[in-house]
Amino acid sequence: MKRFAAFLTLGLLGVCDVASAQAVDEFGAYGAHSRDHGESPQYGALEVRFGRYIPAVDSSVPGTPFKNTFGDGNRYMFGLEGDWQLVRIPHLGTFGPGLGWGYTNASSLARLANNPSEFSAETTSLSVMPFYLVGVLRADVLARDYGIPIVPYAKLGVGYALWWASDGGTTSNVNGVVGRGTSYGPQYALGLMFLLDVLDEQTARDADNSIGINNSYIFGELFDSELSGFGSNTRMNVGASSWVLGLAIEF
Amino acid sequence: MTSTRRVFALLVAALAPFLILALLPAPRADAQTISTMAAAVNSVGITHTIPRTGFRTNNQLNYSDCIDDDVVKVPVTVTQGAGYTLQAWLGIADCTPATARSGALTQCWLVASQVPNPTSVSTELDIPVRAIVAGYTLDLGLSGGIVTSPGTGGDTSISGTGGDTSISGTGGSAGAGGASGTSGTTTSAGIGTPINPGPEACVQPNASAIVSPTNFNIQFFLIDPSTNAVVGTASSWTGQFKLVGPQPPNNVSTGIGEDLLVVNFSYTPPTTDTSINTYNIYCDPAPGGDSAVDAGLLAPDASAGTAADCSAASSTVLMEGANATDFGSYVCGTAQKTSQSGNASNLIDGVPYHIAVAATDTFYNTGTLSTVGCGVPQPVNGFFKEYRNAGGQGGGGYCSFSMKREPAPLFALLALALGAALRRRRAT
Repeated sequence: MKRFAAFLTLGLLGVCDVASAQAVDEFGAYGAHSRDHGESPQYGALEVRFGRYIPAVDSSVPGTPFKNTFGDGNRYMFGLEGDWQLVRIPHLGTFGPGLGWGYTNASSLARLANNPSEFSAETTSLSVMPFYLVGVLRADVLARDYGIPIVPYAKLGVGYALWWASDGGTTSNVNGVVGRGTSYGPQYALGLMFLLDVLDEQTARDADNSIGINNSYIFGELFDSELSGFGSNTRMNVGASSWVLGLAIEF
Repeated sequence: MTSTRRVFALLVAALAPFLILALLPAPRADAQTISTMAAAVNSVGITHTIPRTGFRTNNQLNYSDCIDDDVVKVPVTVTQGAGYTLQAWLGIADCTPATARSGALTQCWLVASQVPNPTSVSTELDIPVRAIVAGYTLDLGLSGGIVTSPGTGGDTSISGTGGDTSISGTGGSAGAGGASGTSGTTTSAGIGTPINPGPEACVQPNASAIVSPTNFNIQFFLIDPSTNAVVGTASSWTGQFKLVGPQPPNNVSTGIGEDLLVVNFSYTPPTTDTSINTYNIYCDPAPGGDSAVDAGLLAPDASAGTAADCSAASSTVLMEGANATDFGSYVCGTAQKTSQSGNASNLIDGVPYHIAVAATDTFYNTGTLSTVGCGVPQPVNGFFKEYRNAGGQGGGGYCSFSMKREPAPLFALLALALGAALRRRRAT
């Protein structure tokens, strides 16, 4: 832990050292490491996301049907998000709507009804495809004004998910109730992005000049989605409270 | 003379001979100008007397085509064919030399022959599928032989039946015999009579060794009956046939599911058949409650059987090695060609089922049945059943919605509508 803290401190000192070579005037940052040298216009961001996702099914019903069926191991989600950076707030960052999509699947062998301690050969699964519409605030003031390649951000909005359960490769059906549905609810996230441009500024400039990519990042995010129909007992809660890692570009 | 005029004059002088030739009337074609004679196949217009099944193209022939006596109808455009015979020959070599069609070096057999109508350039040749495959399945006495592993005991005749030239020159009464072992009706004729084999031509010699389709090439040309020489330009139509389905997998096992059995299978050693398309899974009794009732394994008014294991007698229907084509009504599932498992579905819990697997190929042949396994479907607790049993009320479809129990979205919609209305009023 101490080594990690020392490493982080040295890294920040190094970055700050780089940043100290810059100066700011009424037109913005300038100097050897200014990031505003002829940048193309910036309109939005695109994220490729991967993270842990365990649907909160068991929080919406008595008992633990999800855990009983799929165990308590980790499940993962892949997703994409596109943001429109509608507004640039001077000396703070960008703000605008973001639209996201993800997909996750949990599957396992079903247990025998007459002997639940044994598994059958039949596969049972739950698939979730969450969508969300959020407002995204990316505070890139540190990177733009001070040369610190960190961009904190926040997202707040609503999520909507399609889910479907299947047994033996076909959609589940219990007493005539088909095993698919929708859920919705609030969603928020907090994250940090690391600006990759500082690792190779020349390549970053080339990417901007040739294909219009202003910045590229790796990021980590904590998010929470309560997709339970705002507390409805007729909706399966397929939201999750978890983390996401990913790559992002601004263009 | 200016330079422009000089260039123009040189150009005219250079092109003059060609212009004169172009303006002269074309030479009259006659029987001696064989370069303009032709038999051109219109492969796009090829049809079959028996409709195609599946996604097979016109030039993919299978066992059903052969045994049902399908005939390929090939449109041919004949140019200056008067006095000649239009013929279609099939072989493993160039059939235009007379030596490839007759005598000791015969390598081709006649599959269709016709005297073209002199007033029409378009005609159609009827080529039986059996005639196409006969050279590969029956011993026609061809030089070098095409049949590599003929059956034994047959007495298929390849003796010629007329015509000036017979490809029966060698072989007499077919020596090693046809694969089928049935009395032969196959005839290998000369110029006038194409071969006309019976269903014995559909029996693939050495069937277990067949792992890929066989290519064939039918050659169409005009023949001068007086000399047995090919005249004009020939054309050809190529295709493939496969008369046997793939070998069955040999490690068949079953796993329990609800109203289904999970069937696993594999090859030992791995199959080299490149033509496998899917796997069919066969169940005895056949899927559905009625079959189980008919078999005495399910009470007429019961929704599930009482068997807990598979101690019932072996199947009297599904037999290892039987031709699976005969068990179409017993198909209870399929598996993809890259898979080694599939579900036998629409079964009844508590009823013992005998299970076998057969592979199908891209020519829509079905192979033979695998070893026969057995299993009894049993109720299971899938995720959704666990969820509902725990009191969950979700599900019912993507469009299910209850205004009574889900007021929040309704309020949100009302709020949005109200906001929009107020904004419009302010704007006006």
